[in-house]
Amino acid sequence: MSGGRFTDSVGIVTGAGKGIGQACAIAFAKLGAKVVLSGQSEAPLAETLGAIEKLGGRARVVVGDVSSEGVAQDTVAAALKEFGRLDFAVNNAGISPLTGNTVDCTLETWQRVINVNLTGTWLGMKYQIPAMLQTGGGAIVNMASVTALRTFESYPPYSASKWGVVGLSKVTAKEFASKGIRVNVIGPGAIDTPLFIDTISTGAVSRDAYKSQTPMNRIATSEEVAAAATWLCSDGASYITGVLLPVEGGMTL
Amino acid sequence: MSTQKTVFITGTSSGLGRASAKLFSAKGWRVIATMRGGDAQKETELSKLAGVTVLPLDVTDPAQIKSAVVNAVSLGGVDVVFNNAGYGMAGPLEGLTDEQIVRMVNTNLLGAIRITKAFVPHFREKKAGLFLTTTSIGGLIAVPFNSMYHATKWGLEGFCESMAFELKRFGIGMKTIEPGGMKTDFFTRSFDTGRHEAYNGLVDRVMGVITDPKTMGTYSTPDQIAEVVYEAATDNKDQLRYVAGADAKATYAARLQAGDESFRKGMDRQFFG
Repeated sequence: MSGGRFTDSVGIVTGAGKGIGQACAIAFAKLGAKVVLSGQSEAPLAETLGAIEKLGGRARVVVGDVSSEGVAQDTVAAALKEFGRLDFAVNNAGISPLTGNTVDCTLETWQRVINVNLTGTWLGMKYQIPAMLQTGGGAIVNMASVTALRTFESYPPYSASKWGVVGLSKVTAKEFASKGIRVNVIGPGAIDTPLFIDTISTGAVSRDAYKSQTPMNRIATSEEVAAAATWLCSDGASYITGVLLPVEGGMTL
Repeated sequence: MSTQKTVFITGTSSGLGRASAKLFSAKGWRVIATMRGGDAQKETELSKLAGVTVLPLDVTDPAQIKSAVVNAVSLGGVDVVFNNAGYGMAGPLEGLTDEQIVRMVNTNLLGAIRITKAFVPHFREKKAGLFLTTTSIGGLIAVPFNSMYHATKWGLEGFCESMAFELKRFGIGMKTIEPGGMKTDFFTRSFDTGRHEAYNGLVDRVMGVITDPKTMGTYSTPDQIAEVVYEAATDNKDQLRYVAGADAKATYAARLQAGDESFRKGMDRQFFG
Protein backbone atom coordinates (compact mmCIF):
# COMPACT_ATOMS: atom_id res chain seq x y z
CA MET A 1 0.00 0.00 0.00
CA SER A 2 1.89 3.07 -1.09
CA GLY A 3 0.67 6.57 -1.85
CA GLY A 4 -2.88 5.63 -1.06
CA ARG A 5 -3.00 3.08 -3.84
CA PHE A 6 -3.91 -0.52 -3.13
CA THR A 7 -2.15 -2.43 -5.87
CA ASP A 8 -1.07 -5.81 -4.45
CA SER A 9 -3.20 -5.22 -1.38
CA VAL A 10 -5.85 -7.65 -0.23
CA GLY A 11 -8.85 -6.75 1.86
CA ILE A 12 -12.17 -7.89 3.26
CA VAL A 13 -15.43 -5.97 3.09
CA THR A 14 -18.38 -7.37 5.02
CA GLY A 15 -21.91 -6.52 4.01
CA ALA A 16 -20.50 -5.99 0.53
CA GLY A 17 -23.68 -6.70 -1.43
CA LYS A 18 -25.34 -3.36 -0.96
CA GLY A 19 -24.98 0.25 0.07
CA ILE A 20 -21.85 1.44 1.81
CA GLY A 21 -20.24 -2.03 1.76
CA GLN A 22 -20.72 -2.36 -1.98
CA ALA A 23 -19.35 1.14 -2.55
CA CYS A 24 -16.32 0.38 -0.35
CA ALA A 25 -15.60 -2.90 -2.16
CA ILE A 26 -15.77 -1.22 -5.56
CA ALA A 27 -13.72 1.78 -4.39
CA PHE A 28 -10.93 -0.45 -3.08
CA ALA A 29 -11.02 -2.54 -6.26
CA LYS A 30 -10.72 0.61 -8.37
CA LEU A 31 -7.58 1.44 -6.41
CA GLY A 32 -6.14 -1.96 -7.29
CA ALA A 33 -7.02 -4.06 -4.27
CA LYS A 34 -8.21 -7.65 -4.39
CA VAL A 35 -11.26 -7.98 -2.21
CA VAL A 36 -13.10 -10.76 -0.40
CA LEU A 37 -16.77 -9.87 -0.27
CA SER A 38 -18.95 -11.26 2.47
CA GLY A 39 -22.66 -10.93 2.98
CA GLN A 40 -25.81 -12.77 3.90
CA SER A 41 -27.19 -13.53 0.46
CA GLU A 42 -25.52 -14.43 -2.77
CA ALA A 43 -27.42 -12.37 -5.35
CA PRO A 44 -26.26 -8.91 -4.16
CA LEU A 45 -22.72 -10.23 -3.68
CA ALA A 46 -22.73 -11.58 -7.22
CA GLU A 47 -23.71 -8.09 -8.38
CA THR A 48 -20.77 -6.49 -6.54
CA LEU A 49 -18.45 -9.22 -7.82
CA GLY A 50 -19.68 -8.60 -11.37
CA ALA A 51 -19.10 -4.85 -11.03
CA ILE A 52 -15.54 -5.43 -9.80
CA GLU A 53 -14.73 -7.92 -12.55
CA LYS A 54 -16.09 -5.49 -15.14
CA LEU A 55 -13.49 -3.02 -13.88
CA GLY A 56 -10.84 -5.70 -14.39
CA GLY A 57 -10.54 -6.28 -10.66
CA ARG A 58 -10.49 -9.50 -8.70
CA ALA A 59 -12.75 -10.57 -5.87
CA ARG A 60 -14.09 -13.65 -4.13
CA VAL A 61 -17.38 -14.16 -2.37
CA VAL A 62 -18.11 -15.73 1.01
CA VAL A 63 -21.81 -16.09 1.77
CA GLY A 64 -22.66 -16.12 5.44
CA ASP A 65 -23.67 -14.30 8.59
CA VAL A 66 -20.91 -12.19 10.19
CA SER A 67 -22.09 -13.22 13.64
CA SER A 68 -21.03 -16.81 12.88
CA GLU A 69 -17.50 -17.64 13.96
CA GLY A 70 -17.13 -20.11 11.07
CA VAL A 71 -17.98 -17.41 8.55
CA ALA A 72 -15.48 -15.01 10.11
CA GLN A 73 -12.80 -17.71 9.77
CA ASP A 74 -13.84 -18.67 6.23
CA THR A 75 -13.68 -15.05 5.10
CA VAL A 76 -10.12 -14.59 6.32
CA ALA A 77 -9.16 -18.04 4.95
CA ALA A 78 -10.51 -17.02 1.53
CA ALA A 79 -8.30 -13.90 1.52
CA LEU A 80 -5.20 -15.86 2.48
CA LYS A 81 -5.90 -18.79 0.18
CA GLU A 82 -7.04 -16.91 -2.90
CA PHE A 83 -4.89 -13.81 -2.66
CA GLY A 84 -2.10 -14.77 -0.27
CA ARG A 85 -2.36 -12.05 2.38
CA LEU A 86 -4.61 -9.64 4.23
CA ASP A 87 -3.92 -5.90 4.45
CA PHE A 88 -7.19 -4.23 5.30
CA ALA A 89 -10.74 -4.94 6.39
CA VAL A 90 -13.95 -2.94 6.47
CA ASN A 91 -16.32 -4.45 9.01
CA ASN A 92 -19.45 -2.91 7.64
CA ALA A 93 -22.24 -5.49 7.85
CA GLY A 94 -25.07 -4.22 9.99
CA ILE A 95 -28.80 -4.26 10.49
CA SER A 96 -31.09 -1.54 11.77
CA PRO A 97 -34.59 -2.78 12.43
CA LEU A 98 -37.11 -0.43 14.01
CA THR A 99 -37.34 -1.88 17.49
CA GLY A 100 -39.52 0.53 19.42
CA ASN A 101 -38.23 2.10 22.61
CA THR A 102 -36.27 0.35 25.35
CA VAL A 103 -39.45 -1.10 26.87
CA ASP A 104 -40.99 -2.24 23.59
CA CYS A 105 -37.85 -3.82 22.10
CA THR A 106 -38.01 -7.64 22.27
CA LEU A 107 -35.13 -9.75 23.56
CA GLU A 108 -34.95 -11.54 20.21
CA THR A 109 -34.49 -8.31 18.26
CA TRP A 110 -32.03 -6.99 20.83
CA GLN A 111 -29.85 -10.08 20.56
CA ARG A 112 -30.01 -10.20 16.77
CA VAL A 113 -28.88 -6.57 16.39
CA ILE A 114 -26.09 -6.94 18.96
CA ASN A 115 -24.97 -10.21 17.34
CA VAL A 116 -24.66 -8.82 13.83
CA ASN A 117 -23.46 -5.27 14.52
CA LEU A 118 -21.25 -5.72 17.57
CA THR A 119 -20.33 -9.40 17.86
CA GLY A 120 -19.88 -9.56 14.07
CA THR A 121 -17.39 -6.68 14.20
CA TRP A 122 -15.47 -8.27 17.05
CA LEU A 123 -15.39 -11.71 15.36
CA GLY A 124 -14.17 -10.07 12.18
CA MET A 125 -11.24 -8.41 13.93
CA LYS A 126 -10.51 -11.52 16.00
CA TYR A 127 -9.56 -13.40 12.82
CA GLN A 128 -8.43 -10.51 10.61
CA ILE A 129 -5.73 -9.22 12.97
CA PRO A 130 -3.66 -12.44 13.20
CA ALA A 131 -3.75 -12.72 9.39
CA MET A 132 -2.60 -9.09 9.03
CA LEU A 133 0.19 -9.63 11.56
CA GLN A 134 1.65 -12.35 9.29
CA THR A 135 2.71 -9.59 6.88
CA GLY A 136 3.58 -6.93 9.43
CA GLY A 137 0.26 -5.21 10.05
CA GLY A 138 -2.76 -3.69 8.41
CA ALA A 139 -5.67 -1.32 8.75
CA ILE A 140 -9.23 -1.92 9.88
CA VAL A 141 -12.25 0.31 9.49
CA ASN A 142 -15.34 -0.52 11.49
CA MET A 143 -18.63 1.01 10.44
CA ALA A 144 -20.50 2.65 13.29
CA SER A 145 -23.03 5.44 12.79
CA VAL A 146 -23.97 8.92 13.90
CA THR A 147 -26.08 7.04 16.42
CA ALA A 148 -22.79 6.55 18.29
CA LEU A 149 -22.45 10.34 18.54
CA ARG A 150 -25.95 11.43 19.41
CA THR A 151 -29.26 9.85 20.34
CA PHE A 152 -31.98 8.55 18.06
CA GLU A 153 -35.14 7.32 19.69
CA SER A 154 -36.60 3.90 18.92
CA TYR A 155 -33.29 2.28 17.99
CA PRO A 156 -31.90 1.20 21.40
CA PRO A 157 -30.04 -1.96 20.34
CA TYR A 158 -28.74 -0.30 17.17
CA SER A 159 -27.40 2.63 19.18
CA ALA A 160 -25.95 0.35 21.85
CA SER A 161 -24.28 -1.81 19.20
CA LYS A 162 -22.74 1.21 17.47
CA TRP A 163 -21.51 2.79 20.72
CA GLY A 164 -20.14 -0.67 21.42
CA VAL A 165 -18.32 -0.77 18.08
CA VAL A 166 -16.65 2.55 18.93
CA GLY A 167 -15.56 1.36 22.39
CA LEU A 168 -14.34 -1.97 21.06
CA SER A 169 -12.43 -0.30 18.23
CA LYS A 170 -10.63 2.06 20.60
CA VAL A 171 -9.58 -0.84 22.83
CA THR A 172 -8.39 -2.89 19.85
CA ALA A 173 -6.59 0.13 18.37
CA LYS A 174 -4.63 0.55 21.59
CA GLU A 175 -3.93 -3.16 21.99
CA PHE A 176 -2.40 -3.53 18.53
CA ALA A 177 -1.02 -0.03 17.81
CA SER A 178 2.56 -1.12 18.48
CA LYS A 179 2.13 -4.15 16.20
CA GLY A 180 1.30 -2.18 13.07
CA ILE A 181 -2.49 -2.56 13.15
CA ARG A 182 -4.60 0.59 12.90
CA VAL A 183 -8.28 0.48 13.81
CA ASN A 184 -10.60 3.37 13.04
CA VAL A 185 -14.31 3.93 12.95
CA ILE A 186 -16.57 5.77 10.53
CA GLY A 187 -19.83 7.28 11.71
CA PRO A 188 -22.02 7.75 8.64
CA GLY A 189 -25.02 10.05 8.87
CA ALA A 190 -27.86 10.03 6.36
CA ILE A 191 -26.54 8.07 3.40
CA ASP A 192 -28.55 6.88 0.42
CA THR A 193 -28.40 3.13 1.02
CA PRO A 194 -31.00 0.34 1.01
CA LEU A 195 -30.67 0.24 4.82
CA PHE A 196 -31.43 3.97 5.04
CA ILE A 197 -34.38 3.69 2.66
CA ASP A 198 -35.67 0.82 4.75
CA THR A 199 -35.18 2.89 7.90
CA ILE A 200 -37.11 5.90 6.61
CA SER A 201 -39.89 3.73 5.22
CA THR A 202 -40.48 1.93 8.52
CA GLY A 203 -39.52 4.67 10.97
CA ALA A 204 -41.15 7.87 12.10
CA VAL A 205 -38.49 10.18 10.65
CA SER A 206 -38.82 11.10 6.97
CA ARG A 207 -36.15 11.63 4.37
CA ASP A 208 -36.76 15.39 4.50
CA ALA A 209 -36.44 15.37 8.27
CA TYR A 210 -33.03 13.68 8.04
CA LYS A 211 -32.04 16.20 5.40
CA SER A 212 -33.08 19.15 7.53
CA GLN A 213 -31.15 17.70 10.48
CA THR A 214 -28.03 17.78 8.29
CA PRO A 215 -26.38 21.22 8.00
CA MET A 216 -25.18 20.38 4.47
CA ASN A 217 -28.88 19.85 3.71
CA ARG A 218 -28.47 16.75 1.61
CA ILE A 219 -28.31 12.97 1.84
CA ALA A 220 -24.87 11.62 0.91
CA THR A 221 -23.96 8.83 -1.47
CA SER A 222 -22.30 5.61 -0.33
CA GLU A 223 -19.24 6.57 -2.38
CA GLU A 224 -18.65 9.52 -0.04
CA VAL A 225 -18.36 7.08 2.86
CA ALA A 226 -16.20 4.71 0.81
CA ALA A 227 -13.77 7.58 0.14
CA ALA A 228 -13.28 7.95 3.89
CA ALA A 229 -12.79 4.18 4.28
CA THR A 230 -10.15 3.94 1.56
CA TRP A 231 -8.32 6.92 3.02
CA LEU A 232 -8.36 5.51 6.57
CA CYS A 233 -6.94 2.23 5.23
CA SER A 234 -4.28 3.99 3.15
CA ASP A 235 -0.81 5.15 4.14
CA GLY A 236 -2.21 8.67 4.06
CA ALA A 237 -3.73 7.89 7.47
CA SER A 238 -0.58 6.19 8.77
CA TYR A 239 -0.55 8.04 12.13
CA ILE A 240 -4.26 7.77 12.79
CA THR A 241 -5.75 5.08 14.99
CA GLY A 242 -8.70 4.73 17.32
CA VAL A 243 -10.65 7.67 15.92
CA LEU A 244 -14.31 7.93 15.13
CA LEU A 245 -14.57 9.91 11.91
CA PRO A 246 -18.05 11.29 11.35
CA VAL A 247 -19.13 11.34 7.70
CA GLU A 248 -22.41 13.08 8.26
CA GLY A 249 -22.49 16.53 6.63
CA GLY A 250 -22.37 18.17 10.04
CA MET A 251 -25.35 16.30 11.52
CA THR A 252 -23.79 16.06 14.98
CA LEU A 253 -22.58 19.64 15.17
CA MET B 1 -14.60 -16.70 -27.48
CA SER B 2 -12.99 -19.76 -26.02
CA THR B 3 -14.70 -23.06 -26.70
CA GLN B 4 -13.13 -24.60 -23.63
CA LYS B 5 -15.78 -26.09 -21.40
CA THR B 6 -15.95 -26.04 -17.62
CA VAL B 7 -17.03 -28.78 -15.24
CA PHE B 8 -17.76 -28.25 -11.54
CA ILE B 9 -17.22 -31.44 -9.50
CA THR B 10 -17.94 -32.17 -5.85
CA GLY B 11 -16.13 -34.76 -3.75
CA THR B 12 -12.80 -34.64 -5.60
CA SER B 13 -10.53 -35.61 -2.70
CA SER B 14 -10.78 -39.30 -3.64
CA GLY B 15 -12.44 -41.99 -5.74
CA LEU B 16 -14.64 -41.19 -8.72
CA GLY B 17 -14.58 -37.42 -8.16
CA ARG B 18 -10.83 -37.35 -8.24
CA ALA B 19 -10.57 -39.66 -11.26
CA SER B 20 -13.14 -37.53 -13.11
CA ALA B 21 -11.30 -34.29 -12.31
CA LYS B 22 -8.12 -35.80 -13.78
CA LEU B 23 -9.90 -37.12 -16.88
CA PHE B 24 -11.72 -33.86 -17.71
CA SER B 25 -8.44 -31.98 -17.20
CA ALA B 26 -6.65 -34.39 -19.56
CA LYS B 27 -9.40 -33.83 -22.14
CA GLY B 28 -8.72 -30.08 -22.05
CA TRP B 29 -11.61 -28.96 -19.86
CA ARG B 30 -11.46 -26.33 -17.16
CA VAL B 31 -12.19 -28.14 -13.92
CA ILE B 32 -13.48 -26.59 -10.73
CA ALA B 33 -12.67 -29.36 -8.29
CA THR B 34 -14.31 -28.97 -4.90
CA MET B 35 -13.62 -30.82 -1.68
CA ARG B 36 -13.96 -30.31 2.03
CA GLY B 37 -11.20 -28.33 3.74
CA GLY B 38 -8.35 -30.15 5.42
CA ASP B 39 -7.38 -32.19 2.37
CA ALA B 40 -4.43 -29.95 1.63
CA GLN B 41 -2.16 -32.57 0.14
CA LYS B 42 -4.81 -33.92 -2.22
CA GLU B 43 -5.72 -30.37 -3.12
CA THR B 44 -2.17 -29.43 -4.08
CA GLU B 45 -1.85 -32.51 -6.23
CA LEU B 46 -5.05 -31.70 -8.17
CA SER B 47 -4.40 -27.99 -8.55
CA LYS B 48 -1.12 -28.77 -10.34
CA LEU B 49 -3.10 -30.30 -13.23
CA ALA B 50 -3.85 -28.19 -16.29
CA GLY B 51 -6.97 -26.06 -15.98
CA VAL B 52 -7.87 -27.24 -12.48
CA THR B 53 -9.02 -24.80 -9.80
CA VAL B 54 -9.66 -26.24 -6.37
CA LEU B 55 -12.39 -24.63 -4.26
CA PRO B 56 -13.29 -25.58 -0.69
CA LEU B 57 -16.80 -26.95 -0.38
CA ASP B 58 -18.55 -28.95 2.30
CA VAL B 59 -21.82 -29.92 0.58
CA THR B 60 -23.62 -29.96 3.94
CA ASP B 61 -23.01 -26.21 4.35
CA PRO B 62 -25.70 -24.26 2.44
CA ALA B 63 -23.85 -20.92 2.75
CA GLN B 64 -20.63 -22.46 1.42
CA ILE B 65 -22.56 -23.89 -1.53
CA LYS B 66 -23.80 -20.40 -2.37
CA SER B 67 -20.27 -18.97 -2.12
CA ALA B 68 -18.81 -21.74 -4.27
CA VAL B 69 -21.45 -21.29 -6.97
CA VAL B 70 -21.06 -17.50 -7.14
CA ASN B 71 -17.27 -17.87 -7.30
CA ALA B 72 -17.42 -20.69 -9.87
CA VAL B 73 -19.78 -18.77 -12.15
CA SER B 74 -17.55 -15.68 -11.89
CA LEU B 75 -14.55 -17.76 -13.01
CA GLY B 76 -16.09 -17.82 -16.49
CA GLY B 77 -19.30 -19.82 -16.22
CA VAL B 78 -19.98 -23.51 -15.85
CA ASP B 79 -21.19 -26.00 -18.48
CA VAL B 80 -21.46 -29.23 -16.50
CA VAL B 81 -22.11 -29.74 -12.79
CA PHE B 82 -21.13 -33.15 -11.48
CA ASN B 83 -22.82 -33.86 -8.14
CA ASN B 84 -20.58 -36.60 -6.90
CA ALA B 85 -19.84 -36.08 -3.19
CA GLY B 86 -21.19 -38.88 -1.04
CA TYR B 87 -20.38 -41.79 1.17
CA GLY B 88 -21.76 -45.15 2.19
CA MET B 89 -23.28 -46.35 5.42
CA ALA B 90 -24.13 -49.88 6.52
CA GLY B 91 -25.76 -51.29 9.57
CA PRO B 92 -29.25 -52.06 10.84
CA LEU B 93 -31.45 -49.00 11.27
CA GLU B 94 -31.63 -49.68 15.02
CA GLY B 95 -27.85 -49.39 15.19
CA LEU B 96 -27.69 -45.94 13.57
CA THR B 97 -27.83 -42.76 15.60
CA ASP B 98 -30.01 -39.85 14.54
CA GLU B 99 -26.83 -37.87 13.86
CA GLN B 100 -25.60 -40.56 11.45
CA ILE B 101 -28.94 -40.57 9.65
CA VAL B 102 -29.13 -36.77 9.35
CA ARG B 103 -25.52 -36.51 8.21
CA MET B 104 -26.10 -39.09 5.48
CA VAL B 105 -29.23 -37.33 4.18
CA ASN B 106 -27.51 -33.94 4.37
CA THR B 107 -24.49 -35.11 2.39
CA ASN B 108 -25.79 -37.58 -0.16
CA LEU B 109 -29.24 -36.18 -0.86
CA LEU B 110 -29.58 -32.56 0.25
CA GLY B 111 -26.04 -31.72 -0.86
CA ALA B 112 -26.82 -32.58 -4.48
CA ILE B 113 -30.25 -30.95 -4.31
CA ARG B 114 -28.88 -27.69 -2.90
CA ILE B 115 -26.07 -27.53 -5.45
CA THR B 116 -28.51 -28.19 -8.27
CA LYS B 117 -30.83 -25.47 -6.99
CA ALA B 118 -27.94 -23.02 -6.73
CA PHE B 119 -26.80 -23.63 -10.34
CA VAL B 120 -30.20 -23.73 -12.07
CA PRO B 121 -30.51 -19.92 -12.42
CA HIS B 122 -27.10 -19.80 -14.16
CA PHE B 123 -28.07 -22.60 -16.57
CA ARG B 124 -31.55 -21.19 -17.15
CA GLU B 125 -30.06 -17.85 -18.08
CA LYS B 126 -27.68 -19.55 -20.55
CA LYS B 127 -30.45 -21.86 -21.81
CA ALA B 128 -27.82 -24.58 -21.58
CA GLY B 129 -26.02 -26.72 -19.06
CA LEU B 130 -25.95 -30.27 -17.77
CA PHE B 131 -26.23 -31.82 -14.34
CA LEU B 132 -24.64 -35.21 -13.72
CA THR B 133 -25.27 -36.94 -10.43
CA THR B 134 -23.53 -40.00 -9.03
CA THR B 135 -26.30 -42.11 -7.65
CA SER B 136 -25.32 -45.79 -7.56
CA ILE B 137 -26.57 -49.15 -8.63
CA GLY B 138 -27.80 -48.81 -5.03
CA GLY B 139 -30.29 -46.26 -6.37
CA LEU B 140 -31.88 -48.93 -8.55
CA ILE B 141 -31.68 -52.01 -6.34
CA ALA B 142 -31.35 -52.55 -2.59
CA VAL B 143 -29.28 -54.85 -0.41
CA PRO B 144 -29.92 -55.55 3.28
CA PHE B 145 -28.51 -53.33 6.05
CA ASN B 146 -27.87 -50.31 3.82
CA SER B 147 -31.27 -48.69 4.36
CA MET B 148 -30.14 -45.09 4.77
CA TYR B 149 -27.69 -45.27 1.91
CA HIS B 150 -30.43 -46.59 -0.35
CA ALA B 151 -32.87 -43.98 0.97
CA THR B 152 -30.52 -41.23 -0.22
CA LYS B 153 -29.65 -42.90 -3.52
CA TRP B 154 -33.23 -43.83 -4.43
CA GLY B 155 -34.10 -40.28 -3.37
CA LEU B 156 -31.57 -38.90 -5.84
CA GLU B 157 -32.97 -41.15 -8.58
CA GLY B 158 -36.46 -39.77 -8.06
CA PHE B 159 -35.18 -36.21 -7.76
CA CYS B 160 -33.18 -36.43 -10.98
CA GLU B 161 -35.89 -38.18 -13.00
CA SER B 162 -38.39 -35.49 -12.02
CA MET B 163 -35.92 -32.63 -12.54
CA ALA B 164 -35.05 -33.98 -15.99
CA PHE B 165 -38.61 -33.15 -17.14
CA GLU B 166 -38.55 -29.78 -15.39
CA LEU B 167 -35.20 -28.62 -16.75
CA LYS B 168 -35.51 -30.00 -20.29
CA ARG B 169 -37.98 -27.19 -20.98
CA PHE B 170 -35.12 -24.72 -20.47
CA GLY B 171 -32.50 -26.57 -22.48
CA ILE B 172 -30.84 -27.98 -19.35
CA GLY B 173 -29.86 -31.65 -19.14
CA MET B 174 -30.07 -33.95 -16.14
CA LYS B 175 -28.33 -37.33 -16.07
CA THR B 176 -27.45 -39.90 -13.46
CA ILE B 177 -24.41 -42.15 -13.19
CA GLU B 178 -25.02 -45.51 -11.49
CA PRO B 179 -21.68 -47.16 -10.73
CA GLY B 180 -21.46 -50.61 -9.22
CA GLY B 181 -18.59 -51.50 -6.97
CA MET B 182 -15.39 -49.53 -7.41
CA LYS B 183 -11.86 -50.30 -6.33
CA THR B 184 -11.62 -47.13 -4.22
CA ASP B 185 -11.26 -46.44 -0.55
CA PHE B 186 -15.08 -46.17 -0.38
CA PHE B 187 -15.38 -49.01 2.15
CA THR B 188 -12.76 -47.50 4.43
CA ARG B 189 -12.48 -43.76 3.91
CA SER B 190 -15.98 -43.00 2.63
CA PHE B 191 -17.95 -45.33 4.86
CA ASP B 192 -19.84 -45.17 8.11
CA THR B 193 -21.29 -48.09 10.05
CA GLY B 194 -23.61 -48.79 12.92
CA ARG B 195 -24.10 -51.98 14.90
CA HIS B 196 -26.83 -53.45 17.06
CA GLU B 197 -26.37 -56.74 18.87
CA ALA B 198 -29.72 -58.20 17.79
CA TYR B 199 -28.52 -58.09 14.18
CA ASN B 200 -24.83 -59.00 14.47
CA GLY B 201 -25.04 -62.50 13.00
CA LEU B 202 -27.24 -61.37 10.13
CA VAL B 203 -25.03 -58.38 9.33
CA ASP B 204 -21.87 -60.50 9.29
CA ARG B 205 -23.54 -62.89 6.89
CA VAL B 206 -24.61 -60.09 4.52
CA MET B 207 -21.28 -58.26 4.67
CA GLY B 208 -19.61 -61.61 3.93
CA VAL B 209 -21.53 -61.81 0.67
CA ILE B 210 -20.97 -58.13 -0.22
CA THR B 211 -17.23 -58.18 0.47
CA ASP B 212 -16.63 -61.65 -1.01
CA PRO B 213 -13.36 -61.38 -2.99
CA LYS B 214 -15.13 -63.03 -5.93
CA THR B 215 -17.72 -60.22 -5.94
CA MET B 216 -15.13 -57.52 -5.41
CA GLY B 217 -13.13 -58.94 -8.32
CA THR B 218 -15.91 -57.76 -10.66
CA TYR B 219 -15.56 -54.15 -9.48
CA SER B 220 -14.43 -51.40 -11.83
CA THR B 221 -11.65 -48.90 -11.28
CA PRO B 222 -12.60 -45.23 -10.72
CA ASP B 223 -10.88 -44.43 -14.05
CA GLN B 224 -13.24 -46.78 -15.90
CA ILE B 225 -16.30 -45.17 -14.33
CA ALA B 226 -14.89 -41.69 -15.01
CA GLU B 227 -14.91 -42.61 -18.72
CA VAL B 228 -18.67 -43.14 -18.45
CA VAL B 229 -19.04 -39.78 -16.68
CA TYR B 230 -17.15 -38.12 -19.52
CA GLU B 231 -19.29 -39.90 -22.09
CA ALA B 232 -22.47 -38.70 -20.34
CA ALA B 233 -21.07 -35.17 -20.31
CA THR B 234 -20.31 -35.11 -24.01
CA ASP B 235 -22.61 -37.49 -25.95
CA ASN B 236 -25.51 -35.00 -26.33
CA LYS B 237 -27.97 -37.86 -25.89
CA ASP B 238 -31.41 -37.55 -24.34
CA GLN B 239 -30.64 -40.30 -21.83
CA LEU B 240 -31.20 -40.19 -18.08
CA ARG B 241 -29.32 -43.21 -16.69
CA TYR B 242 -25.76 -44.32 -17.24
CA VAL B 243 -25.36 -47.62 -15.41
CA ALA B 244 -21.59 -48.01 -15.19
CA GLY B 245 -19.42 -51.08 -14.63
CA ALA B 246 -19.97 -54.70 -15.63
CA ASP B 247 -21.33 -55.69 -12.20
CA ALA B 248 -23.86 -52.86 -12.10
CA LYS B 249 -25.01 -53.52 -15.66
CA ALA B 250 -25.53 -57.22 -14.93
CA THR B 251 -27.41 -56.51 -11.70
CA TYR B 252 -29.69 -53.91 -13.24
CA ALA B 253 -30.37 -56.10 -16.28
CA ALA B 254 -31.30 -58.93 -13.91
CA ARG B 255 -33.75 -56.70 -12.07
CA LEU B 256 -35.41 -55.49 -15.25
CA GLN B 257 -35.64 -59.01 -16.61
CA ALA B 258 -36.95 -60.62 -13.43
CA GLY B 259 -39.29 -57.83 -12.39
CA ASP B 260 -39.26 -56.20 -8.94
CA GLU B 261 -40.83 -58.95 -6.87
CA SER B 262 -38.97 -61.92 -8.20
CA PHE B 263 -35.66 -59.98 -8.17
CA ARG B 264 -36.24 -59.12 -4.52
CA LYS B 265 -36.93 -62.75 -3.63
CA GLY B 266 -33.76 -63.76 -5.44
CA MET B 267 -31.72 -61.20 -3.45
CA ASP B 268 -33.19 -62.50 -0.20
CA ARG B 269 -32.14 -66.05 -1.10
CA GLN B 270 -28.68 -64.85 -2.12
CA PHE B 271 -28.06 -63.19 1.25
CA PHE B 272 -29.98 -65.40 3.69
CA GLY B 273 -30.28 -68.74 1.86
